Parts: sequence; C-alpha cells; structure tokens
Amino acid sequence: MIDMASFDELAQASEAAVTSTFCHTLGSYMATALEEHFGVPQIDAPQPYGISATDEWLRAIAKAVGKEKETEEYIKSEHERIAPKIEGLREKLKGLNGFVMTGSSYAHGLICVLRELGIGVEGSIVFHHDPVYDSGHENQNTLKYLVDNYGDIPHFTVSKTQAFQLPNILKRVKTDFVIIRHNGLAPVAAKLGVPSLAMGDEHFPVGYDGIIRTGEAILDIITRKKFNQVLKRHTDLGYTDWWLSQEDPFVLAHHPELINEPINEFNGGKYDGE
Amino acid sequence: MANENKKKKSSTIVHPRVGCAIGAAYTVAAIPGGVPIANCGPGCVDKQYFGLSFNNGYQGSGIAGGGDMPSVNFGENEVVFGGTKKLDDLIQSSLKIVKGDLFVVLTGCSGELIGDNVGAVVKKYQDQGYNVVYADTAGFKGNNLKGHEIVVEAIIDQFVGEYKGRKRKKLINLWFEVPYFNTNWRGDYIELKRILEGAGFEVNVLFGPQSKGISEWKNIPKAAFNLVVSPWVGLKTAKYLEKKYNQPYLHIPVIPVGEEATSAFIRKVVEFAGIDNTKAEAFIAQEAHEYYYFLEHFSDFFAEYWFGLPSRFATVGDSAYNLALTKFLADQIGLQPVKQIITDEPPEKYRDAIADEYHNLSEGVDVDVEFIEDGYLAEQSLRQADFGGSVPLILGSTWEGDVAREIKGLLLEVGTPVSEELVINRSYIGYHGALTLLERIYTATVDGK
Repeated sequence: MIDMASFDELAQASEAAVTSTFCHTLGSYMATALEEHFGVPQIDAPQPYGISATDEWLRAIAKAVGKEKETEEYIKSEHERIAPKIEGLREKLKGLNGFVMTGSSYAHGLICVLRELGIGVEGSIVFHHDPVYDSGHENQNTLKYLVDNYGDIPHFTVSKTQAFQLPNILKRVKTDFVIIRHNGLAPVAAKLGVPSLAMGDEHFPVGYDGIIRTGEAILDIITRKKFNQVLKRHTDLGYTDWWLSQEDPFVLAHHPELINEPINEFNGGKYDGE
Repeated sequence: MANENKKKKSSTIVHPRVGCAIGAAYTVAAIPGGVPIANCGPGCVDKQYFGLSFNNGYQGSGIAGGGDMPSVNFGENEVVFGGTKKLDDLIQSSLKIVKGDLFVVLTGCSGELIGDNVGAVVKKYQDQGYNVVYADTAGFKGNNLKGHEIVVEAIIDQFVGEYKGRKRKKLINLWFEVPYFNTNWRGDYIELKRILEGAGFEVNVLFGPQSKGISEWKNIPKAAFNLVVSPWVGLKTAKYLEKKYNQPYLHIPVIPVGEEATSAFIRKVVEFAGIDNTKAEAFIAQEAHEYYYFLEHFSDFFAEYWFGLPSRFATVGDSAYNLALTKFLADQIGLQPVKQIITDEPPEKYRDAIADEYHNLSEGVDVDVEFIEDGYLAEQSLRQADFGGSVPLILGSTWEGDVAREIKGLLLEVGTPVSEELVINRSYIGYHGALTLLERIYTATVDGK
C-alpha cells in the first residue's frame, strides 16, 4: 500500500478482508487506522522474516480468510523447496558474522534472517526503539520475538549513531559485513575494511525466498572484501587519534566534561596540549 | 527568448541543475584538511550532497562530507530559542573529534532568518588560535555558485588575512570550476594545473587532490596574479583580491578544450605574466605533437563512418562547461550548435558578455544562447531544437534523459545532476580532456544503445 499503491487501490483499502504488514514500524499506523475506522482486522502475527515467522504470518492470514488447508500445503511445499538451498547457503556462510544498522523492527527481522542462515550477529544498531506499536498487539514486539526465537544480541545499541561513533562501535564486535538501510554510515564502514550491503528495500529479505536472496547477496558482498582491505590500508577515517583511542563509543554522553579537556595533538591549526 | 521565458517564469522551478548557497559546504570539503560545519537543518545539507556529489557522478565526499559532516541539525528548538549554544558545542566537539586544518561554519536559511550571531561564537575560537571561519550561506541568497564565492571570500578574509610582503612572479592563484558542482572538476583541475606548470608557472590550485591545503591558501597573497578561467564565477573573488592584496587578474571566460584553444590559452597567460616563453613553447610543441598523433588515428573512424554520427548538437548546463564544450565542438570538430541553454543563473551584468561569446565561437558559426534555470522550460525549449536529419547530440544533465529518448538522441551527461555516469578522475578540458570527450561522444555513437 504505502509507497506503491495507485489511487484506486487506496480507495478500496477499506474493503479489504484483512491488513497485513511485514514491517510493524511502518505498517502498523495505517493498519490500525483501517481497523479503527473501517473495521478491517489486522493480522496478529510476527513479521515474515525467517522461516518460522513466515510460517506464522501465513497461518494468521490463512485463518482470517479461511484458507488454512491450502496454506498448510503451501508451507510444506515451500519448506521442501527451500531446505536444500538454505542448507547450501549455511555451509558457505559458516563462521561469518554480520552487523545490522537499520530502523528497529526491520533490524530485528534482518537479524532473524541472518541467524536463520547460521550467521553470527554480535551487535546491532537500531536508530529508534518502539516497544509498543499502534495496535498494541504482543506479536508486534519484534525485539522480543527475535530474542525468544534466535537468542540475545550482546552489543545491541539504540542510537541515532553518528558516523564518528561507528569505528568505536565496530571495534567491540566481530563482523565480516554490515547491513545498512540509511545512507551515510556505509562509507565509514567501508574504510574500516568492512563491506556493506545497503539494503534499502525492505522487501528483499521477506519470506522464504528473502532468506535465500539475503544469503546470496551476502556471498557477493563478502567476495568484494579485498577492496575494503585496500581502503583500510590506504585511507584515513578523518578522526583524531584521541577519539579513535576511546573504548566507549558513547563516552561523550557519559562524560561530557571530556570535550573541554585538551587533546594533545594538532587540530584545527592548533596544538591544544601541554 | 531569454526575456520571453522570464515573463512566463513562476516562483518555482522543477528539475533543478544547481544547489543552494549552503551547497558551498562542498567548496570546503574540496580543500584538503577543510571541514565544513553545517549550521542548518540536516535535510538542507544532505540534499546538497545528493545533488552535488552523489547523483553527480557519484563523486564521494572524502573525509568530512556526505554522512560525515558535523551538523547543528537546526530544528524547531533552535529556531525558537536560538541555535548558538548548540553551534558552540558542535564547534568544540568537532575540533576534538574531526581531524582538520580549517573548519568553516556555513549558516543556512533558518540561522540567518532568526539572526543568530554566528560571528561571535566563531570569534571565540579564532581568538584561541583555531582556524575556524564562518560564512553566511542562506539559500535565499542564491545558488551554490554564489555560495562558493561567499565561502571563498570568508576564508580569505578571516583565515588568510593581511599580507604586505613580496609577490612571486611565477605563482598564480587559479579560480576555475566550482568543486563538486562541475562533475569533472577533479580531473579538470589536474589537467589545468599540469598545463600551467608545463608552461613554467607555479599554481595555487586550492581545491582537490593536488592542492596543498591551507598552506596554499596562506600563499594566495604571494601570487603575481589571479587567473579566472570561467565565464563569471570567480570574477567577484578576483576583484576582491585585487583590492585586498593589490593583485591584478586575468579573466579567460572560455575554458580551453583541444590543442588550438589550449595553446592559445597558454600564450595568453604567459604574455600577461610577462615571463620568458621558452618553456611554454617547448611544452606546447610536445603537447601538440601528441594531441595530433591521437587525433590523426581518431580521424580514420571519423572518415570511415558517417551514418549515425551527429552533426548538430545542443548543450544544457552551467555557463562554464556549456561555453567551453560548445566552442570546442563547433570550432574543432565541425558540429553545428543548434540549442544552447545556460542553467546556472549568471548575474544579469555578466549575461551580455557571455552571450557575445556564442557569437564568436568559430568562423561562420553563431548561436543565440538562452538563459533558463527552470528545468521544465529548458526541456521545452530543447524539444524545439532543429537537429536536421542527423542523430541529435545533447550534452546536458540527467534531466535531459526524457527529451533525449523522445527525439532518439545521444545524451552525454556532462553536468549537474549526473546519475548515469560514474566519474573518478575524468577531464574534458585541455589537451588530454578533449580527447576523452571525443572518446565519450563517439563511443556513444557506436555502442549500440
């Protein structure tokens, strides 16, 4: 609907049997409005990222429209179809670690997909956090779904994340690639030697095929890693040594007084130290 | 025609081919060691990145541009209560975190409208010995070309400062294409510097990979003269420097492209400088030899083909490239200019002089240039061009794509915005760049697209 619908499609939205979304951050507002104003029920299900969440999402839609039998057959045949492909990808992706930087529920969904593929995720940045979405449904707690089904994320950060914080954030985790939605941070990661998958299109990792698409894209991205290693060897991040030596990426929030202390190096045309 | 369009003009434009004055953040980013500090809304300066760098040949932004530019992120709170406290904190933390030699605060519309005293904030740092400069670059002051001149003047005024010493006879300050805005600026600066050095000069190139950064800016007053190679951008700067440092300037409105124009350019600069021409003549001889070696080989293609090659062409873009490329193709390749539209809104006082250049392109070639900044009107005018029976050739921006498809023309994207070309170090000027331009045009005629 959002972004893609024609006027005619928008006009008949209130006549739909149900509303479903694959992004609770962006979809729940309109879904709730359709429910409240026109009685179009919302599908109460997790977002369709990863195998089991996709199963549940399909089952919830099937139940609402009375297509349980057909859907169970479809789920079974899809599982059979994708199993060898996903097994093959898991083999090739073994030992890799990834890092996800996007809006909140999209990040949660993406991490489900990465872990479905056997990729380790030690850290993630979400640019905002919304524990409750417009409908208030428990299933919209995407972070809970992720942690309950795929385990904890040791370095999980809710932050707008400025580019200068990224080197210090990535220092804390093992990562072979980053997945990012919003522009601006990928070039910094690239210079740190980390290839990036700029996944602006939320449709990409959705559903059963989305898992395969994501796995294959990551293999492509990893292949180009040599270029990032060249960048790392020969380019400068442009931050002061003082800043790069900080362990805590959010040290300025924890100790704002640091900003007033001399930095003992030339910057801005001045030596600001002893 | 220009006047007619003016009457029809509304207060809005579509398909813009310029940024706004805050786009001069990329003038700062083009100086090695330069760090722009955006004192405006985050969207304002992000749009400039997409217009001037990303969707303009995917030029990237080096260290302190793109998503990595310190920004006040001016919002409602700053508009209501003033933004100077946040700016002060930002300068302080930028000096601490971002490595740089020169920090330039660029204030956009909101900061200027509410009357924040940015100068007072910046002065605190200047008094402590930091290289921090401020420039008032509200978008309502005009486009990024005007912003470029404002920023250059602010740096000279607040950072370069007074100078009473001797001048160096062979040292030139080069005022040339606007960095990032000209998609090929990096390659063009390298080629023009190569040419001037080949002729025996030293060049304060000021921007790009071959600039020595702030030490070069400090040397501006030591130059014998200012060389403005552009129809109008930079003239204001040259006049300012004439007054400030008693420095004369030489204005060459047409960027030289091809051997004849480039050799004539060198001789003009050498004559103006009054230096010995032995080195310059030897350089010209060698360059001319190489240039015609290649042109001769290219001519086989030109002689053996006729079908599908353009004979008439249009240019839509900023005055500098529009004039330079029109002159080269008309005078050296024998293509007929049929529609030339200048989109960078030159100040009224320069327009007659620019229009005159289009009446002196080459013997027997004459065209009335149009000044239109609105994309809708520019594209409408382009549609009316008479390309005769041959393949229409358009040198323009991505925005010309629709018209090019309609008239089954060849479009070479040469100016802002450029989203279907990736540019790294390409140049279309001087000796080397002219040959690259020919490669690009005639590859397009044979690549089967």
